[in-house]
Amino acid sequence: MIEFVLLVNKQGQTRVAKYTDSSLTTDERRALEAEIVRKCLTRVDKQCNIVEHRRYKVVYRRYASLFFLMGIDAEENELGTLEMIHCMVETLDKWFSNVCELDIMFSLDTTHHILDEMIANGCIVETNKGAALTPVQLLERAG
Amino acid sequence: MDLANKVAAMAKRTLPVSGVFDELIRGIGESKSKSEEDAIVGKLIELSKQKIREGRREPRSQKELLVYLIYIEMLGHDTAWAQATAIQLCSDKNLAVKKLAYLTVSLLLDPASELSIMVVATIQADLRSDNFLTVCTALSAICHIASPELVSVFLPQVTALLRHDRDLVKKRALLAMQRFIQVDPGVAPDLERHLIDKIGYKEPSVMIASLCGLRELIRRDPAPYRNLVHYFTNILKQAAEGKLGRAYEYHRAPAPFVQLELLRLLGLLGAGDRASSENMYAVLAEVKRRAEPLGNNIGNALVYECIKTLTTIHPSPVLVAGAAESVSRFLGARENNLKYAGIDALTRLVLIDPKHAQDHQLAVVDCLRSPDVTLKRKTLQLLYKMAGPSNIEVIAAEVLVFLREGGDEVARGDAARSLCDLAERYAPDHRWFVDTMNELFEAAGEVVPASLADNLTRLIAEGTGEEDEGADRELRAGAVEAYLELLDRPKLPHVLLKVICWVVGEYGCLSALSTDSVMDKLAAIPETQASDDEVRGWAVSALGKLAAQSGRALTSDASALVSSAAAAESVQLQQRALEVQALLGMSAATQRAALPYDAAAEDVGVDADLPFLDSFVQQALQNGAAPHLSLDDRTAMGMTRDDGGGLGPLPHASALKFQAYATAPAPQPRPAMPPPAPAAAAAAGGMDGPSDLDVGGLSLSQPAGGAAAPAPAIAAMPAAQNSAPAAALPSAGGPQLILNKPGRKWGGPAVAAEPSPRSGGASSSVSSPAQPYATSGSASHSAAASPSPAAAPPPAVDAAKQRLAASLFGGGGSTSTAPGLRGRRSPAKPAGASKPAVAAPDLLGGMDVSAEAGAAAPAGAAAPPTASDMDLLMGLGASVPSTATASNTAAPLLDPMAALAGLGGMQQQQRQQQQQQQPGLVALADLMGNGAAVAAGPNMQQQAGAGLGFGDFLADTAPRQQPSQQQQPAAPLMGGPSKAPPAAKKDPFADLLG
Repeated sequence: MIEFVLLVNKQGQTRVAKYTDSSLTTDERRALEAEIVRKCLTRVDKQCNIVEHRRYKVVYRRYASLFFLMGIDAEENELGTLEMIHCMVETLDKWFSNVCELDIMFSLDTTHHILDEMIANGCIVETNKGAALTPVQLLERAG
Repeated sequence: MDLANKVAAMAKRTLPVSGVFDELIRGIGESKSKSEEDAIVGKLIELSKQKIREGRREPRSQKELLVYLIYIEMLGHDTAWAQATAIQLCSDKNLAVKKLAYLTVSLLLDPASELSIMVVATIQADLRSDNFLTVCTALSAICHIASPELVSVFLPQVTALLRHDRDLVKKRALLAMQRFIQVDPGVAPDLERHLIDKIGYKEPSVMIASLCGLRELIRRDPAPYRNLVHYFTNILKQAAEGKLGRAYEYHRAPAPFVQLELLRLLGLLGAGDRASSENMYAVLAEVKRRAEPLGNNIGNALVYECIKTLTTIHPSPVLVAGAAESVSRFLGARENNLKYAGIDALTRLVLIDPKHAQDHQLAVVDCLRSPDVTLKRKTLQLLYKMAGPSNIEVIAAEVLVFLREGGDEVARGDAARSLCDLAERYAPDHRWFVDTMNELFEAAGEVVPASLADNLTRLIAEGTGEEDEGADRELRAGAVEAYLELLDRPKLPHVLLKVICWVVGEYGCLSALSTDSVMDKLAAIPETQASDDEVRGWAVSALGKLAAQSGRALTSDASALVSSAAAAESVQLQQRALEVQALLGMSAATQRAALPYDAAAEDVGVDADLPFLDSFVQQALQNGAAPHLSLDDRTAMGMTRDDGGGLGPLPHASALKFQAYATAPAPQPRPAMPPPAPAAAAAAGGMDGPSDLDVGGLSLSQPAGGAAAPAPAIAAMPAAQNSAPAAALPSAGGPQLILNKPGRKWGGPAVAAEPSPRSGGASSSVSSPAQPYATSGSASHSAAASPSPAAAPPPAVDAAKQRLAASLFGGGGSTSTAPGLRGRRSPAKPAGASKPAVAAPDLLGGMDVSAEAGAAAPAGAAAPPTASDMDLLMGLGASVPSTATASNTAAPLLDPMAALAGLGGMQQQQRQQQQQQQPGLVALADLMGNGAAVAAGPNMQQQAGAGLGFGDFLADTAPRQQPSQQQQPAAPLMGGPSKAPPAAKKDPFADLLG
């Protein structure tokens, strides 16, 4: 299970937050995000991209100023999750062409939509980039 | 990079934005501090409220509003005021607005919120729409807001949508079903058939959605779905061969994420089922064979998942041998991620056969010494699985080192619990156990479960369980000496201080020091240690015991401590002190009878009804006292209140609390008193309990009087009765009373004070050591092995790697035959038989397992599934049986963990208890606090030139594993933009995606 997907910049500011488990309150989420980012920031390149935090294994990957993080449970494959993050970034990149933090900020709704197409109910449901972007494109045209 | 240009370039490809929107979003992006951000959020809130008031209808304005709301929520601000508007916008005609409104609602609303009901009608209408995009939008919304009550509302429509012409709708409907199962597992039987129907669907994305749904079913109960193994292996084989199409390829691996999902499903289905497992061997080998040569991250992920699967299912020796080779490759890699996977895989292999650990000794020690906490923690988990009598001392030393390094509270808690568990199981002797526990308390007292202190004191009190008084005595004397020595160190954790107080109080006379110096040491605790009232209470009780058992008077320091405690604000502490004072005023015979030496492990028979007081109660009632009401009665009658009475920081304050009394003038002593003891009811029912007050006075106002036995008995009575308030006793008529000073609330903690540790004193027969132990001290244990009283030699922590490895993996296995404490303490348990006192280090039940595995080998190798029908997949849909039959052919459950867990029921119970004690959420510093802290971090400097993140994310993300970058292992992920070659920046994926 993927418990959450977070995009947080290196200042610790949340850019996108999606939780599968919706039992956390807004305050708890903010607290969790701050804790995790702090942990990830203290790590150096050579260390592994996995941090255990509370009951989650947090897999993170840094792209320029932005951290992409996924909180997973014991069942999930850490290395696979790491690649899923990259697959997600590739898909965003395909949509925005050369994606950057501001792209995500200005098109927050589209970013959410793309992530929703790829990950639903805590599962990876689409990794075909074309198929993931088709509904987004259709919606864009309809809107 | 020029910021303005970048923004200008972006404007054209984002949705049309107004100037204000542009400015605000950019403001959020550029804000450097929490206050700056808050200011912008304030503007957003103001603007949003204005938009809501205006109620403008243009889609652009509405979308902006919704995006603002998402930002406000994401940045941690309240959005309750806008939720109704967002819900309203869900029924907007514009699809883009509708989609965004659903998204906003899912982010803003808690599914438990009653407001989510308001979206239901809208979703139902949208599900009926002719536009499939509207239907998809509604189905996605269901995934986000589904709650158990709503499942049955949506289920019929969602089921019908499985017949929609569009694959996109089918996929979304299946995902909605998955969500239904997640929120309400009870619907699974209704959905099972639909999910299985779609396994063989031609469109991969629909097939994947059905797999996700099935995963929910299979993880809850795999048995009914074992007949699906055949289909899963077929799909997996096709996925591995690239038959799902180029579009699913990722970094040269064909549909890797589908493969991962299927491997996980197979693992769930094959666990504990030999027949199913044997049908998987061929395809697992095939998947692994194809993934190995990829040599990139995704290839390694596949190999790692294969290992996970084949170690979960009934093992095949051939596959396990292959897995061991892959583990070597992982552990030998330079990347920590691979090492992590290697250690985790090795942990799984060790459960099948402990010999695998032998091959990687140095690599494991390397990981253990790694500065990477994640890796270190993972390695410790491996050590826990490898632990046995031969290496427990080295492993314990490693865990203690980890604990001393500090770090995450959860991680430390896990390590502490594991250490307790292992130490109890494999401790070479009691002395070692006591020493190790002491070190554990010292290193990580704050995360150690309280039950551990109970175990430790019980062990010391019960001794070896044999009739070997000498050994017991030596153990206790050793513990006392160790503790007296520890007291010289500052900052001991409270839990350790309590253990020290109890042990020294109980067995202080075994010390080489004089009783007086022991008393002085105890009396000094409040000064030398950061103690609280609770610890002081334990110290006071310990002093009482020492004095009573030795027949000596308290030293001047000790009696100073007791006197000050008797005037303490904490009523619990005060009571303990007053009891000690009262008891020490009695005759020596009474003292010894009340607090006998070494009787902590004796059974205490307490008649909770206290019949010997019946006549006394009768008399009081006749004199007009109100009858006693139990706590439940009083709660029911509303005589208690919940907020704290403010009586000091008593940690055990319970629910029993009262309204504050108005202070009364001093000359009228009786009404000014706090309500008296058993007359708690009198507080409400017209306070009139003179006789009760007299009782209090009798017992404590003349402690030096000759009334021998009755006094302590009465003093202990209220505590033993538990519901009768104990606090009034010491206070009534006592000159020490400081509770009723003006304005002071007389509240619950006093009354609800924990039962006194000497509550057993009511029976005047034995002393019970302290509350937790009084009940648990059953002295029934027969022992087998003789203890070796000599202290274990300190493990060589700083030894060279080889020596450490040798001690971890090989050394000493043949010499140590001592089973753990538990084995010794309960040899009669049947599980003890399955875990013989083996001389080899493979204590993990591995012998049984490997024997089984050996038997399974030929069968597994010779019987690959008939895979010829691999291309039949596309037509499978309808032929899949809908009712699953369990094809469980009685393969014995081979999970070695289960064998381990079976070692003793007691142990299992204890684990459960420990699990329940997971620490709660940790409080935290605010967001920007971190930001600031972070700014000093080393990473920042590297990125100093990157500004606020306008660099291209992908500039430096050319996949790690691309051969051209192999030479700089540290660079790929985090390096600055300049590090990536321009070519890679232009089209990093062109060659991958074709």
